[in-house]
Amino acid sequence: MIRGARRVPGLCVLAALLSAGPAAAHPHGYADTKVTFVLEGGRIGVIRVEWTFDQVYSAMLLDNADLDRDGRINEDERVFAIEDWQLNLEEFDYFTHLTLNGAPVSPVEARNLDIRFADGRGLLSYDVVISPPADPAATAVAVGVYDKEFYLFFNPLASDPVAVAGAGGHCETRIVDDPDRAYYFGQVIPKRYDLLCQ
Amino acid sequence: MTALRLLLLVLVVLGSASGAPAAADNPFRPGQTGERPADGPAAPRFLSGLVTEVAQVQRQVYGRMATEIRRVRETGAWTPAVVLLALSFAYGVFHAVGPGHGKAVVAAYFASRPARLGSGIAMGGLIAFTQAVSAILVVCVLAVALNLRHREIMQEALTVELASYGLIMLIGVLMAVEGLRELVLRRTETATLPDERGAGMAQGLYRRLRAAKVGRLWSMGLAAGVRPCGGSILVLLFTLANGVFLLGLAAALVMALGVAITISTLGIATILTRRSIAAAPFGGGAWVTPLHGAVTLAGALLIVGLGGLMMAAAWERGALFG
Repeated sequence: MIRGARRVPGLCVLAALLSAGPAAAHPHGYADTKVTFVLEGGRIGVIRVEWTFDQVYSAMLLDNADLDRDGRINEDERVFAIEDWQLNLEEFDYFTHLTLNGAPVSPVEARNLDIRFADGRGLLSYDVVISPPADPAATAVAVGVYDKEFYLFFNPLASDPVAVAGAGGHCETRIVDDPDRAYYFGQVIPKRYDLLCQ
Repeated sequence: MTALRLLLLVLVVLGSASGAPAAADNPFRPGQTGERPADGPAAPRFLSGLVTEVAQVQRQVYGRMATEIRRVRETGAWTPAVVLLALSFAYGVFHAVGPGHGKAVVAAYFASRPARLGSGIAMGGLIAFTQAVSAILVVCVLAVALNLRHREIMQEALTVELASYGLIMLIGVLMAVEGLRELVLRRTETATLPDERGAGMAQGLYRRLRAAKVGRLWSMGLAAGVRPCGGSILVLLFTLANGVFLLGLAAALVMALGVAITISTLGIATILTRRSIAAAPFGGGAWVTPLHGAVTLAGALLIVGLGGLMMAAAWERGALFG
């Protein structure tokens, strides 16, 4: 028994590890994200966010959008798909978690939502609006893109996942792990895009 | 020592629900989308990193799978097909490590009752292959025969998913009734053991209960498995769209093998944990028997609760963008 008892802690950990999170929402779609902080006159009023879906999920999105099933998305279908996504994403704050000086902004306001398909990939983009535009030297602007239900799993794009566009300010960007906002029962650590200006 | 073991046993049963979805924290409910750090029951931090890493591996493997499927379509060669099957196996293993696939139900099931190691393997295999067959049937009927849109297929799959959780709850209730009967039986047995006839009757009842338990394993495995694996459905639809559906069928089955290995490992780990804690289940004092029955009962009620929570979570999530 004593020999068996020694194994208990290890096995408990293993059991807890494997049993963690029973909901049926492990990621079913993957998207790579690119975030561009857009400065205008030294202030930040727009953050452009782009998602590139994985090939399998993209195929499903294409099938849903291609209403006449001719294998391509015409302008009417594109407009319809955009309206559909707009409604869905609004409800979930675009899966975009914006904070100004650490304070969450909700609801998230976005415009210019667009969907395109290229080389078997679905590309979705939108502009998150900061209203009124903030002084980035005095405001810590941070944004994370993640689905707390873990149905979609977001990651920074492999190349150039973050950028600053426009004039004004000496700014840098960085992408960091944000364990304080670990989601899905604290099991998944999201990435946070920071804008750091002087 | 026995008291300590039983206490540990209760903790394992409760711990198996550590990742239970708290419906109140569902971010998909309107008005709940606000930023609330560290909501819901949180896993230890080292686990957070691990789950994220596993999801990253899944993402890499999944991307490669899609590339290989397209390569088969474009070249018709065997090599990418073989690579795809190897990737599917790996994807199954990692996919099942992530949240889902009824693992909490499996853990609660085996934590609350003694079982053979073979039962853990049987349960894992049963769930994994039922899920794969369910996904294959969903795609064959809805996509191939009825030519439905992917969105409609995912919505129909949600109905099957809800039914699966309903079945899990039903079996949990049956297990609870069984646990209660067992409690009452053992009490009767303690009272009337000197009587040979009484002991004989009790033995007959035990045999019937044991037979019921074997059936329970099968029904629980099938109930948890009826929910089609969403990952399999998407891969099957992708192969269908790329004109290599037969390869998709093979990939779904190989993926199930990977899933089976992961779930079986969890089942075996739970069984071993329970064994090492409760090595002498009924050898203690008179109070041990009812307490042990209470553990079984708690496990059954936990399964009912888990089924309910998963149902609520799936109901609220809906077929998102599906």
